[in-house]
Amino acid sequence: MRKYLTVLLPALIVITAGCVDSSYPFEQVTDKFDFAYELPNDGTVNIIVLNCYMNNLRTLLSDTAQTSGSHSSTWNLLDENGTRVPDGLYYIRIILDDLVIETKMIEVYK
Amino acid sequence: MTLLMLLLCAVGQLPGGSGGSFSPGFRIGPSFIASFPSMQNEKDFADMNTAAGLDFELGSIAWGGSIELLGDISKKFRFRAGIGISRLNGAYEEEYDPTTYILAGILTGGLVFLFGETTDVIDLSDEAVTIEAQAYYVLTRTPGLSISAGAGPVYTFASRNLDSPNTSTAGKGSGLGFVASLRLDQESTFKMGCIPLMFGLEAGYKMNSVTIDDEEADDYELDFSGPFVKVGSYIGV
Repeated sequence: MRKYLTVLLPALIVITAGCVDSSYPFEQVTDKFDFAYELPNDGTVNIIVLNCYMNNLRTLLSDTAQTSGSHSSTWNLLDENGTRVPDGLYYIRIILDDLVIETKMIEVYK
Repeated sequence: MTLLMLLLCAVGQLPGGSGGSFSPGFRIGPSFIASFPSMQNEKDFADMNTAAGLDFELGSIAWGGSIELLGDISKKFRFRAGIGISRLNGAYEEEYDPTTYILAGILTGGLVFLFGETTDVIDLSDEAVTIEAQAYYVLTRTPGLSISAGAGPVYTFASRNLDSPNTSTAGKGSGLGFVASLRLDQESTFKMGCIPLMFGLEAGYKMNSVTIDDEEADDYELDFSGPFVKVGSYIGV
């Protein structure tokens, strides 16, 4: 048994380390999420946060006129009622003139 | 066990429901199910993940199985009662770092290679446990073969689990639905010892959409509705 453990344990550690090192195509956040986005043209911008059931939890920007170029925003992981959202996957949608131009996925955990 | 086999054999010797003549009988057995659920919400969810830059793969076929009891009530009517489970999966997978993978393979004497080169980073699992009751009208009955059409209620207990590296989100709900199908049953000349064996093939459409109860889900629907195909083998009891 000890023989197996001495072989398997380092392997598991190596695999786990390999996974941790993996750069997922999403952010893992525990506190707040700062993000940047690029607008291809001037227009009216809405930024909403959806949960993994695609329900709108929070509106970060509502019908705001913005010019083309780089912009940034922050989500403090709170919903519309000011309550911290439960751990899970969340999606931030940047909508320009009723067209979703970017979706960001983040993993929120404590 | 021997006693049970003897009992089943004794019952198996009784005249069966096959052939042109009818005699009431019951059969029980497992079935294998493939269904093609609508799952529009999950398709939208997969699209949202894809839009977020993840190569999220959602299955199109829900695989499952059931245990069923078939019974002939009369020459023209039969019933089926069953409990089944089916599962639809989706995932975003990543490959292990090649160096890590090879190193782990060497350390485990090749054991790691048995589990593949990928790991699920985001894992979605939708599951439906169904309790079904169906009444059939026998359309034709020839020696050893019968075709019947039926319908009945189906009650579904559904769950949705979404796992990510650090989180796990689960939701569940239940609801009543409806199933309609056509089935073909064939008596086999082959017997399990002395117990008569029958094969069944069924195809139909199930309408069973379930709303997730959790507050966070806000009426999110898991729509398992869609066509299905089922094959099973039954023993006479």
